[in-house]
Amino acid sequence: MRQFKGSSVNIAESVIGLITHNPILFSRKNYILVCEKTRFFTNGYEGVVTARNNDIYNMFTPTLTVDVNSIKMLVDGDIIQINSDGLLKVLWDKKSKSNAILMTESCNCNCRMCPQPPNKHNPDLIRICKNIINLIAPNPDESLIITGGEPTLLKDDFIEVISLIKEKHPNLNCLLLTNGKSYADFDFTKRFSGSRPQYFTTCVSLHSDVDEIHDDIVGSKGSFYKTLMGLYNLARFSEKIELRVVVSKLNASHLESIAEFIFRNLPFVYHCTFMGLEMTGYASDNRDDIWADPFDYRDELSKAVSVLRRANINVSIYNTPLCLIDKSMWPFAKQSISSWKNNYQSICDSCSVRPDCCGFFTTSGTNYSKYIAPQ
Amino acid sequence: MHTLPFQFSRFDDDHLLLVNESGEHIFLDERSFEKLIQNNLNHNDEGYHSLKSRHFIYSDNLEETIELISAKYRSRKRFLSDFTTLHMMVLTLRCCNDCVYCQVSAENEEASEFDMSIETVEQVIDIIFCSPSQVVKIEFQGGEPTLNWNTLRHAVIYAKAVNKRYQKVLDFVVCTNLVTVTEEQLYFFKDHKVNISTSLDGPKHLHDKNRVLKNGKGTYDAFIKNLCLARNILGADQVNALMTTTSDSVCKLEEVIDEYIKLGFNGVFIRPLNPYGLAVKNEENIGYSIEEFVDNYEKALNLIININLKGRRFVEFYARLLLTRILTPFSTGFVDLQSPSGAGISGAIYDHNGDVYPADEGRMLARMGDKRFYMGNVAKDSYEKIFAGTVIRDMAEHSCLEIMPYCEECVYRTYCGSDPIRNYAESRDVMGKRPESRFCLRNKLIFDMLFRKIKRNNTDEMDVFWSWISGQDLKAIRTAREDA
Amino acid sequence: MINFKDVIVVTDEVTANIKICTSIYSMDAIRAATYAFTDRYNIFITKGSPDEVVIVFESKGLNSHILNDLKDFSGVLIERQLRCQLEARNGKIRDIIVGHAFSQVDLHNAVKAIGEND
Repeated sequence: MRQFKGSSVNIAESVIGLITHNPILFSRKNYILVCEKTRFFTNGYEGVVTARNNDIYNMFTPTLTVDVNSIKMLVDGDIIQINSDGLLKVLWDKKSKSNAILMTESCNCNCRMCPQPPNKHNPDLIRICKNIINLIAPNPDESLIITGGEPTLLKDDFIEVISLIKEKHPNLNCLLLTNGKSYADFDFTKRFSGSRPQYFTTCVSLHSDVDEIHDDIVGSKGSFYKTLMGLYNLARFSEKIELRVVVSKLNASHLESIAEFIFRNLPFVYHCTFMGLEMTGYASDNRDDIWADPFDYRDELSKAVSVLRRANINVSIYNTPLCLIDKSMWPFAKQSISSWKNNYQSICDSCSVRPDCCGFFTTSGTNYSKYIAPQ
Repeated sequence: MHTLPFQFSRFDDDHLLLVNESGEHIFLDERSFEKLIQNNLNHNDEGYHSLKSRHFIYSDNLEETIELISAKYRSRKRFLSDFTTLHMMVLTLRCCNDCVYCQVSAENEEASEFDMSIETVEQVIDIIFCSPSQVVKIEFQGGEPTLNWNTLRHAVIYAKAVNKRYQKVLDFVVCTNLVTVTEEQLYFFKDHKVNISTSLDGPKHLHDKNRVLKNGKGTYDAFIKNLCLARNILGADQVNALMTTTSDSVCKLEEVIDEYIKLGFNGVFIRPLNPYGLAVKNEENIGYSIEEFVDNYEKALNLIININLKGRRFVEFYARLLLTRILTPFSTGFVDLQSPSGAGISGAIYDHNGDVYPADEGRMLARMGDKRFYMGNVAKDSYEKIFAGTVIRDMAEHSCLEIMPYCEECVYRTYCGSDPIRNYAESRDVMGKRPESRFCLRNKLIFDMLFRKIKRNNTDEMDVFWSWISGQDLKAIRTAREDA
Repeated sequence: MINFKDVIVVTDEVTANIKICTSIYSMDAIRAATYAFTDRYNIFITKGSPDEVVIVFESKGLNSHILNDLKDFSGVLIERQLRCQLEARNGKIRDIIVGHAFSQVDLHNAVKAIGEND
């Protein structure tokens, strides 16, 4: 998520609130006031974010002072967290059509290309998630992504969070990013299916059609079959399933075979995506083992997309610039990178299809294809 | 590594073809095959990956692997859980035609003692709705069913009334030669969404050789006139045609296809002759060898593929059925090629007097004096007695390819089916004698031909096949390959 | 040095017989192989010396070259023998697959019972 650094005052515990620019709001609970300078009394707001703090008006309220350019980036409807280290995190970006909530950093896999390596679970994250869910007022075209680590590891807490979403925002479009292994437990799947809101897509990662390779990629033996059994249970409850195949050196040579496997064994999936790498975290640590230039595997990718296209399964390509895939594949490439970490290279300025291209991860740094070329 | 159950056969000079229980196939070179049967493939060997992915071998996790294979097996046999979906009614044996290959051996137009009565048709429909299937397809046959108009009309209305209670998906088809059909009848079909299935054997000179009136005159002109009328009233989607190949047309399938295209049909079912009724009697004149049929069938299929590539969607329905079985994990309901036999389980036929048979061929045998396949009668027998009786059980037991000699080891077994009544008609044995079976030979040769195409994996051909299988427009599939 | 002539005895244009060692080929394979030829030949299987069966072929007269056909037969026999071996190995797994397809079988116990879990 987007972050800013400033200096804090009066902040004991971290504060979460909805942004407002209105300094004379009547009902102030849960709101954080954003203003270039404080000119009115701020009592009652959860917090204040300002460029010039005048403490005559603002003596006790938790406050973060940042530069005026950062102030300009915050809009009403954003949800932010400010803490005593002076860090401002944007937990919900109102300008973005889809936002992610992080449930945990713990995970039962160790994917070689993981851009967000696992950490011990911090229970505070659950509190923050619930907070966000209580504060948001999403429009019908917005969606919520539940991510981690592996959210389903939290079992009861996980069920509680999705039940809360169902209660507060029954029509919100939700996606869950998961490795699917928890669903190998039939009873858990049953509980999940009964608790979740109506419009819910479960996005399950699957990186190969044979266990040796998938288990090697996710760094955990037995994962392949657990994920498949999980997928079968989800299908038994008619869950809407999306499969996510992250393409790396370890599986780029057999994408067509993966596509065929998906069609023969998992024909019930709603959507399948082939995803380019985000070269940060473990992915950059393991660069030599996992980096594959999409330009080099573009033929195999085209074949894989064809297989699913012929079988009438929805298919997309994520995180891969248009110049690196066959022109005939362009209709399948989607704008898939969160705006806060999305950029383009300077060479892209002269590209005629730049508006349609997903561009790059800022987090990938200089790790990108040598074949980038304007079209 | 260990092997999972599969069938195999030498396919050509370089490769063997393997097919497994879940219906997936693979072409293997000899060396890899030898390693496979000696359990000696390791994960660096060519073929290991595909063999594992398609469930020909496993290393650990046998339980989960079986779970996956079973799911595919279950999908493939889904037609069983629906039980009897297709119900054919012989409304009358009267017909104005005297087609050279007629299976029905029709009576003349006045012989109304061979009509199904209103009382009987109601009893038939009552029995039909006892079937557990959520989809019921009622097919009116004959002779020429429209000649018994009162009963046909009543059947549609009565069935719809009964269905108010059951809320099943109810479809109607009338198998008519269209020669004597009236406008009033066509409007009735339109109002009640009755689909028309008719016969067109080709352009006039071919059609009129086979499909003649009792006085010997051709039926093409009358047929065309009524076909256009039917199309205008019901719309092209509700009117389909099939053809029967005879020795006159077997090397002229190109002309037949041209005729179908000219008349605006969306596809054709190229049917070979079946050895029943008049077809047997006239075999010398109208018969042809199996090899000749398959050879010409392949040429016709190639022609049809090119027509599709030029932009006109035109499906060959039999190829589509077999390709769906080979290339997808899904169940296909085609009564004439199932294991266990579709006759009785998936489809049944009700004679004009209410006698029930698993298939038309069973009814024909009874007419000739052999009631081996008589299941019961709607007037005096319960649904259970008819559909769970000894005839159908006996057929099911003896028509599972998985246990029939020759079939059990055949590489195409997963995709094929049995025809126990035909076996009985030819050899007096419901299991039949495979090495002499023309039914077997025909299926084998057609599978050989289709698998040659699959092995060649020509993009154009496969795109056309997939446009048929998935029901998508060829263009929509191929824009994934042409410049956007 | 043994060759085909020692194993296949051709009596005349339409009759021949072949001796098969039953310690090498199973009776199932032998029966399956002979079945494939029953459209062109009348066939009779009888016992020869211990460990041996003799198969008598009589052409039905449909344009067959008996020596070539019996050479084909030996190829078919090897294939059938291989199939029998595969069936012995895989048949039990196949039974579990079919059983599980139609009624949920306890896969863990079923697999254990056939002793395949390495």
